[in-house]
Amino acid sequence: MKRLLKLTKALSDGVDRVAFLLMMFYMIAVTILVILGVVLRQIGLGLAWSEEVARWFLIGLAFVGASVAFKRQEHIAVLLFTMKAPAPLRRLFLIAANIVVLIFLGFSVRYGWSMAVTASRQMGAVVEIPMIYSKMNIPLGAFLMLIHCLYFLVGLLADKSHTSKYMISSSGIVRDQEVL
Amino acid sequence: MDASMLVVALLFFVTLILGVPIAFILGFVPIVFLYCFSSVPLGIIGQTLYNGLDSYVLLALPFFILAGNLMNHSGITADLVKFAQLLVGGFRGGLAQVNIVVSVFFAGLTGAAVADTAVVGSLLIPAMKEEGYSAEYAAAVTTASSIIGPIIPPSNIMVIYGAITGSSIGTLFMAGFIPGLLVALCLMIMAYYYAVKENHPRRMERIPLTECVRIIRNSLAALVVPLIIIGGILGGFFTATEAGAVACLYALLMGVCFYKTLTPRIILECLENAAIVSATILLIISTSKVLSLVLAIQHVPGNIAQFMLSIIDNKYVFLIVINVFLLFVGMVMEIGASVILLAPILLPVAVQYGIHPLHFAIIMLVNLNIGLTTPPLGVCLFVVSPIAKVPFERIVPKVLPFVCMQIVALLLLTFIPELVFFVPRLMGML
Repeated sequence: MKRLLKLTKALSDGVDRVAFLLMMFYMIAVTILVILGVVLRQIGLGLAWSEEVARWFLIGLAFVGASVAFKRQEHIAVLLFTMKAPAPLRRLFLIAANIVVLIFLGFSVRYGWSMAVTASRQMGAVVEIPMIYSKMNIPLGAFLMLIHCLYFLVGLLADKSHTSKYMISSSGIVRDQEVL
Repeated sequence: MDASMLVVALLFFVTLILGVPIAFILGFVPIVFLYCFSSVPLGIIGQTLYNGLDSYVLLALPFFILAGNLMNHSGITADLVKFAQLLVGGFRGGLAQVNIVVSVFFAGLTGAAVADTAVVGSLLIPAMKEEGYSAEYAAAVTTASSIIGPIIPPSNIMVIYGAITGSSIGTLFMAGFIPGLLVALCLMIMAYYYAVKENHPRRMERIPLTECVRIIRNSLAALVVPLIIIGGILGGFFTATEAGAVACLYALLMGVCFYKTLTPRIILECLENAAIVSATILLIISTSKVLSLVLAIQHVPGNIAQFMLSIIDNKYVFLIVINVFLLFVGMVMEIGASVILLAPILLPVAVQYGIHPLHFAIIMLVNLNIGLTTPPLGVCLFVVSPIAKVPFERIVPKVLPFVCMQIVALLLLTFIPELVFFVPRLMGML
């Protein structure tokens, strides 16, 4: 079990590093793109494709970013009951919650993938690039979250003394809402 | 309502109690429904997740969050505090009034309440303590006034509401001006009452004229931000999404060239935070579409509307009921998730009662914002507690009178719709 934990941790850490860079790329690219779009339009050089590409990047930002947020335990949850529960019960809650998330992610990877693959010959409305590149972000993000989720689940089962390290949402009630 | 919907509702609450993050609940529950009770092919999940996010309007969210982050780090708030000192520092209880007025100015820079609590609190709470205010009172004023942030434009929660319901973000922004000022006014009255009752100090020294000019000049850079955003949208120079990007550019230029506070490292941190925070909300929006699909298949929104209409026939009774309901929701649930989940269901019902969509939007958003400052889950209270160095429970009794004033403002907005309509009508948006 300890070996499995080590393995899943390494995997989860590894993919997160790549996902983080990808997320930052999407964020920076979309910001520059839209600013450029406004500026160029004011001087009469509007870019026809900037809006569509920006929307595609948004999908990536959302799903790849969601995996980074997952790794950092920042997804928003109501933790009122989990926190009040006695430790053994809490661990049970967390495991159950983890399984629920795993099921959802499994379905998302499976049907996100089939949706993306169908779009391999579907071109963007303005940009002549197959939509698969935009749509693939959904199964990709879901798959990354699946890896993190598995790591958390193994952690909950193997490492009983540090449950808070393996919560999908930790102390998030405060941090997650920082901007609202 | 058939048995399947009962299962769905039950599953929803069980997963909520288990602490499953909202985004995953909204995806998991409808999948179970589709799998067990419906003939709709599961393949629809993929496309639904995609459609939920395939929107140019939604892009405004990361931009406004980023712009807010950059503004927070630019150090502009210190100047805004001085400006507020100039305006209201001379009243009895001066610093409490300054705290509220700064929140009004700060609201024009960011669309978030918690940012307001943290930034204004860390500047003003130590100063207030030094002048002899109790730490609890200082924390309470800071917390209560921070809900002005998401009401006065720009506002992240309005962007979410607009994207979800298809309402114009520009119009929502404009409708927020007077409600935001109204909340401020109500809170200032309460602060004045306490100032007289407890004999709070005021600013005694005069600020020299040259200093006044400098303060006003520096503050102007911040105060024009909402005008640029609204003016740009109104004048047709850019869309609401692009307004967000322009706000980022403005904050960046100001922080790098004028204040010289934004280093590449800080900028990267701001980008990282904006990306992660918007991703968590975007995921909720995406998965909520799967739930909406199931609710639509089961005609749930229509049934709720019919049910409501059959038991309440008076518009004003409905408004009171909805306000009580939303206050409760705001107390126990995160505001973004509440809007994403409830706005598409409640808005059509409100329209059936003859309530203007814009009026309903403002009622809902102001109402849910109040939940940020109330126990048990008021985020702003959690944030202010370490800043003021007082435990959560000791701030609560001090903040409740202010929460009452927020509710007074909410009721005024509910029953005098003209407060909401005035600015948009003036601008020809209604």
